[in-house]
Formats: sequence, C-alpha cells, structure tokens
Amino acid sequence: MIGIIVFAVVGLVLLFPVVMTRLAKRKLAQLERAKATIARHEDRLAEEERAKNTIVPADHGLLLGKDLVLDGAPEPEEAAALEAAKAGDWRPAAAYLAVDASADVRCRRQRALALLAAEDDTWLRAWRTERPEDPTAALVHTDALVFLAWNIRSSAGADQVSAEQFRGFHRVLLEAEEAAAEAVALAPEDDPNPWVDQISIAMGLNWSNDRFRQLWAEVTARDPHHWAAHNRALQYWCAKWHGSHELMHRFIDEAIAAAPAGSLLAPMKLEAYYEQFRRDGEKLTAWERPEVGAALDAALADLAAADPEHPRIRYARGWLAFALTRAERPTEALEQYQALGRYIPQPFTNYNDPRQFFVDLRIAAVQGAVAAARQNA
Amino acid sequence: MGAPQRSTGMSTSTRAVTAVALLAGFYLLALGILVGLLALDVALYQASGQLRPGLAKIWALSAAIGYPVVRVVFLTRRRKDDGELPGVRLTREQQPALWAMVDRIAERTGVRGPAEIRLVPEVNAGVLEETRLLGLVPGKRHLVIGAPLLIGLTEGELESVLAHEFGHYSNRDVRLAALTVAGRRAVLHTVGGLHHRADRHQAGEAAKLAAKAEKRLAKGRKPSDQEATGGVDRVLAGLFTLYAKLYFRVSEAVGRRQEYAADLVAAQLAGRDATAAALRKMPVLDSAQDFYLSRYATIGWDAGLLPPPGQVYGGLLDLLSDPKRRQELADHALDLPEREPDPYDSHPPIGLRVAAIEALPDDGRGPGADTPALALLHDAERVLTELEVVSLIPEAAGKQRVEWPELVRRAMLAHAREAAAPAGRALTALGLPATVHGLLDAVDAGRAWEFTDRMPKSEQAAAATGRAAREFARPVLREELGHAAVVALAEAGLAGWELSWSGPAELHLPDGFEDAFDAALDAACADTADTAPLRALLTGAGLPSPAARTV
Repeated sequence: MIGIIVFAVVGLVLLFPVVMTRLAKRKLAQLERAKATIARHEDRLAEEERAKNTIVPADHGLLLGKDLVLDGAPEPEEAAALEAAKAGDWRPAAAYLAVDASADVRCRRQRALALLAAEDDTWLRAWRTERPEDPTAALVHTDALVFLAWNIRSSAGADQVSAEQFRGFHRVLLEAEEAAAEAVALAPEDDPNPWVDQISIAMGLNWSNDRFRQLWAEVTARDPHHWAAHNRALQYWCAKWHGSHELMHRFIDEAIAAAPAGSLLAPMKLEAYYEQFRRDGEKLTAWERPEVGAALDAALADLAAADPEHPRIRYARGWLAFALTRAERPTEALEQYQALGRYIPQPFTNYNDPRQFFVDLRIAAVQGAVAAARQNA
Repeated sequence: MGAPQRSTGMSTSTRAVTAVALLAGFYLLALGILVGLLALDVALYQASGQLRPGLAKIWALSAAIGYPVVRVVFLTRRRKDDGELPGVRLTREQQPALWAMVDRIAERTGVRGPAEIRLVPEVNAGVLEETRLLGLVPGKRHLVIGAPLLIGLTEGELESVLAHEFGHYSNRDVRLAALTVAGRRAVLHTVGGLHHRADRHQAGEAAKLAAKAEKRLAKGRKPSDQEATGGVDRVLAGLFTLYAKLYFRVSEAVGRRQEYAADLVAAQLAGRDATAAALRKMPVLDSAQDFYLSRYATIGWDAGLLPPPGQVYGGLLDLLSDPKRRQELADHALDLPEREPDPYDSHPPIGLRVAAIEALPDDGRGPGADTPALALLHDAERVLTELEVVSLIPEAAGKQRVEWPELVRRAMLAHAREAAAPAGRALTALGLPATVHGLLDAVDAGRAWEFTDRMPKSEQAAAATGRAAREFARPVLREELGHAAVVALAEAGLAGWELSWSGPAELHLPDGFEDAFDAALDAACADTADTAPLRALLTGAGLPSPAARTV
C-alpha cells in the first residue's frame, strides 16, 4: 500500500514538469502565431491608410516633402559669418550684423550668431577683448547668455527641470541682466534692441507685471511695432509664464490695433490661440470657433497689405497655413502652402518631426481643397 | 468636550465587547480554514472510495495551505511576554521625589500604583501590566517614563501625563480595553508573520528564477518572464489582513474613547491648563528629540565620537534651554501638526484632544508647578548615564567621549573631509596633490574642467555640451575649491566650527577671510581664471603654500 503511494507520488513529481513544459511550449507557439497575424493585419491597415493619404504634390503647386527645408537655415552671408566665427574669426560676423536695417532685422540676424556663442563664445570673447566698446558685441553677448541660460534649463516644463538646472538658469540670467545693462549703456539711445533682449530675461527671472510694463515702455518708445519684441512679449504674457489668457489676448489685441496694416503682428494672434488651446487641452475643433475665424481674416488682410519681402512673411504664412487647415478652410490653407515654396516655417518647426507634421497637414489641406472644388463644380 | 461625545451610537463597552467577539472570530477564521481543508480532504476520500494518486496531490496542497496557518497563528510565541523591560529601573530609595508624585497620583485616581518605574529614552509614558488570560487576570504594573519628558516638561505637565496613563486604569472598561489591545497585537503579529514568511518565500523563489533565467540564457534561450510571488503565505496574509481591517475599525473607536476619558482624568488631577500644555508639548518634544539626536548627540558618530557620559540624552536640555530654539518650539507648539488621522491609530488626533481639554471650564489652577520635571530625578546625570549604557547599541561603547565644543569641531572637520573626498580622488587621478593648492594648480594649468569631469555629475550635466556644460561644472568647481580651502584652514587650526544650540554649527574663518572669500572663489572659477586672490587670502590667513614648505 505504502509502496504504491510512494510510487505514485514519485511518478507524479517526475511527470509533472514534463507535462507542464509541453503545455507551456504549445501555448507559447499559439501566442506567437497570433501575434504575427495581428502584426500582418496592422501593417496592411497602415498601408491602406497611407495609400489613402497620398497626394501628388506637383499637381497642386507644391514641392515634394524631401525637397523642403526648415525655415531659419542660414542665408549664404550668414553661413559664412557663422563658419568664420566657429573658426575663431569674429570680423565676418561683425560685418554681417553691422547692417543698416530695422531693429527687428538686426535682431533676427543676431539670433543664429548668439546661439553659436551660447555653445562656444571663443570668437565673441576675442571680439569683445579687441573692441570692448562695441555695442553689437555687447548685444550678442547678452543674447548668448539668455540662450545659454535656456540651454541649461532646457525647454521642458518646470516640473521636469532639476534644482541644479534652475540654479544654473537663474545664475546665468542674472549675468545676462548685467550684460544687458552694459549693452544699454553702449548702444545708441534710440536702439530698442538692448531692451528687447531683456524680455526673455524678465520672463526667466520672473519679473512682476509692473516691472515688465516699464521695460515694455522702453521698447515701444524706441520702436512701437518691433516684431521680435512682440513675439517674445507674447510668451511673457501667456499663462504658462507670467500672464493669463486674458492678459495675453489683451496685449496682442492692443498691439495689432495700434500697428499699421502690413506689420504682420496680426498673425501672432493665432500663436496666442495656440498657447490658449494647448494650455486648456482643447480639442482640435477649437480652431473652428468664430473668434479664430475673425483672427484668421485679420491675419490674411495684414498679409495682403504686407511687403512681400517682409522678413517675417514666412512666419505669417506658416501660422496661417496651420490655423486655416485646422479651421477647415483648406482652399485658403493650400494657397499658403503654395506660397511658402520650399520652406517649413513656424509653428511646424516647433514639433518633433516638422517635416512629417508639415506634410501631413498639407495633405489634409489638399484633400479638403479638392473636395471643396468638386462640390462647387 | 464637544466633538468626541457626538457619536454615541454604540456605548464604549458594547464596542469593546464587539471587538472581543471579532478577536475571537479572528482565531475562528484560522480554525475554519483548517477544518474546511480537513473536511474537504475527508469528503474527497470518501467520495472516491479508494486511494488515488490525485488524492495525494490534493492532500499535499491542503497541507501546504494549512501548515502556515497553524505555524503562524497558533504556534508562535510572542517575545514581549517574557524578558526584561527596557530602560533603567528607578527604585523608591534612589528616587523618592518621583515616587512621591507617582504615589500621589495613584492615590488620587484610586488606581493601584506600579511595582516599578522605568526610565526609557523615547518620548513616551505608559503603564504596562503583566496580565494573564488576555488581560482578565491582573498582574504587576510597570510605569515607563521617557527621559525627554523629564527634560522637557514642567512638574505640572508631567503630573498630567502620568495621570493620563493612570486614568486608563481608573476606567471601568479597562479589562476589556486591555483585551482589545492584546487583540490588536495578536492580529498584527499574525498578519506580520504571514507576510514575513511570504517575503522569505518570494526571495527564495526570485533567486531560483534568476538561476533558471541564467541557465536558459547560457543555453541561448530567452529567459521566461515569470515573476516571483509570495506563494500561499501571501494569499493567506491578504485574507487575514481583510479581517484585521475590520477588527481595527471597531477597536480603534474603543481606543480613542478611552484616550478622551483618560485626558479628562488628567485634567481633573493636574489641572486643565497643565494638561493642555502637556498635550501640545508631546509632539513638539518628539520632533525636538529626533532633531537633537540626529543633529547633536550623534553628530560625531561616524567620526567615532560621542558627547560626555549622560549627555547623549541629557543634552536635549541644552537645546530646549536655548532662547531661540525655545521660541521656535513655542511657535511650533501653537500650530499643532495637522496630520491625516491614521485609521489604525488608537489615539485621536492631538488637535482634537487639546480642543476637548481647552473646552473645559477654567479650573483656576493655571499651568501648575512650573519647576522642571527633571528636578524630580535625583542624581540625574548618573541615571542618564545608566540609560545610555542600557539603550545605546553596543558600538557606542567604542566611541570616544569628548566635550561638546570639541565634539562639534572634530565631527564637522570629519564631515568636511568626507565632503572633500571625491575632489581629492579626482585630483589624485589627475596626478595632483589632493589639497586646495593642488586644485588651484589644476585651475592655473587650465585643467579645471578636466577636474570637474571626474566629479559625479547629474544626468543633465552629463548631457550638456559647450558653454552649458561649463556652467554645470562651474558651481562644482566653486564648491570644491571652497571645501578644500576650509579643510586646509581647519586642519592647520586656522578655522573651525563652533557649537551653537540655536542653529547649525558655525564655521569660524580667520579674520577678514570671509569678506573676500566669495570674490576670490568667483575669480578662480571665471572663464579667464585668476587664482591669485584665493592664494593670497590663504597665505594671508597663515596657511603656508606648498612651495614655501619645501624651502
């Protein structure tokens, strides 16, 4: 009797793992087969989806996705200045910046060089050592410190930024504040740019709204419609920094109302809506609201009145293309995509994959425009 | 007392009886599991009519479930029932004043006094009774008093705290209360025991799985993604936890009601104001004691140092006597800690207890005797020294006992050296002496960022490039230069830390050093670095530069 029990138990113990392993293997094989089937199916669906979404760009006056370039890539003269600066020669950069143009244009030219100096400022230090009184060098130095501060901070949300990053950000911005004071002292009295440079400093150092308004008064006293100044101030006034939806919209509305037609401040209203909708986690259909429609009409009118050589024209067209597509006005959107030619501007460049996003939205606009044309015919 | 009396749905004794019934139920649950398993086995055997191999498997399974239940619920002994109580025994002969107070309280509450008083290091007071039969048969009583209470309370407040503890025994529900307390302990013990077994099981299984995965990998196969579990013990622990939650819900209400009743006894005996003051002081003393032990008493622990005998606990008095600290504590006492009430805590939130006491009519007795309670303790220094002997871990015996000023100075230097150790290793790796002058030489040789590269970095600092990387490194360089300079000065006896009871130890630098220190550090860390100011500052303070020494 006991012998049988012992025999049975030993037999079971020996058999158990063999049976279980068999079962497990069979189950695993089944699972693998099922996974493969699902993957094949998903591939086919994606294939069909892509086929549905394909357009022939040339049929619609558009360039192929691969032939597009990101806006902001340096022009030849700028590229040469950057190359020389990288090699330690500051003179081409100084010459490139010494253009007799509007404050906004000078501001725009300074950007890439300041970004370079935020990475490596050997050339800038050489410049400033040789010409300590050069106001342009002081300006680039200030802007470079601002970019440097943001490189330390990263552009992530405040909750993703470490205490170490915040300390560095703050310390370098304080240096930038000192540099800006120096730039103000060196620059001609009527140059707004040393003041414009302080807008981002104010944002990072949490200046109060009252203190910021004083700074803004200095800017607008020298150039009331400075485009870059308005674009930076819009960020200061948005809810994620030191304002609110209301303050932001009031700021941009007043600026647009005061500006002459063709200033290209009106498209900035679209950026304001973008900030608002993103903050509130609105659905994409928010872009179809009547107030957005009115802003789009105003921006289109501003664009129509603007000089075709306006340095900010691609910004205007980019935001219009984006918002018109989202607002289900594909025919007008397509016009903007066509006018952009080979450039992918803001807001597309703010996305992780600007080219893909640009092409996706462009397809939506083309298909919408084609459908609308068919309906009208 | 307003709030606590509102919920009179069930009287305290009814609740206590319910709690006792639930406790019995807890054991019945365990018994039920065992009987159920046995019944199942027998029924299966009868149904099948013969011995089948399958039956053996089911038997083995029920044994696997039944064994932990028997082992944990019924068979383990609880240590607390026997053995010596912690702390130092305060005899009637040695401590007549303290005993006189205890006797007075016992007499006035009509409660049988303790057989012995024990001094313990915790912020706590209590009366323990060696009861038998789950609290139904009375036994010897022990009064436990925490040394911080003697140090931090006035006589009046101590009287109130002790009266509260005796108050528990003047309450009629106390027999059943003792039972609920014993029940809580038994239930916790069971759940804890099962989890403990489950943890061990899980650890064993995890090790086995890891070994298996390694074998599979060695054979070139994918390791299975099986995970270690706690086995049958975990399941049982879950089951008993559910029951324990129910039990605690019922018994906590009993416990809380008894706390309010005991507070009332304390107020009657020691006065309303003294009782409220004592209640407010308890959480403050608790945090003061934690703070004192970590920041003062054990400040030199890693450096092998302790304060003089008797001061490990006694030094709390110095902290509490400091006017600034006393002010901080007084401010702290007013904003009572607003913690989420713990549903399994038998004590009601202290804020509610204070409110209940303060809602009593003024008894005109004021705060009571305001002499420090420590005055009741005869030969306090010797007693506190004895307390150290019985309560500190054995390693304490190997520590050197030094006076407070020396303790702080040496401990802080040891901390500073430790903080400077990674920089020292980095310098050694660069082939430079691990001193402030070595670091200054590195800066002068343009190797500052080579040095910071060898220091520990955050993820973001490691990812940064160009100037941003330098800005991450600059504060590191500055801090390490500062550390190294301070260590060098302290080692040369030119700087040192001074004990302060009102704040952290203060670093005293040579005269005029501090004013120029920041600027000198900034200059040494600038992009166009200049180490001359810092070198001059060190030399000026009397620190010989290495070149001077070799001459």
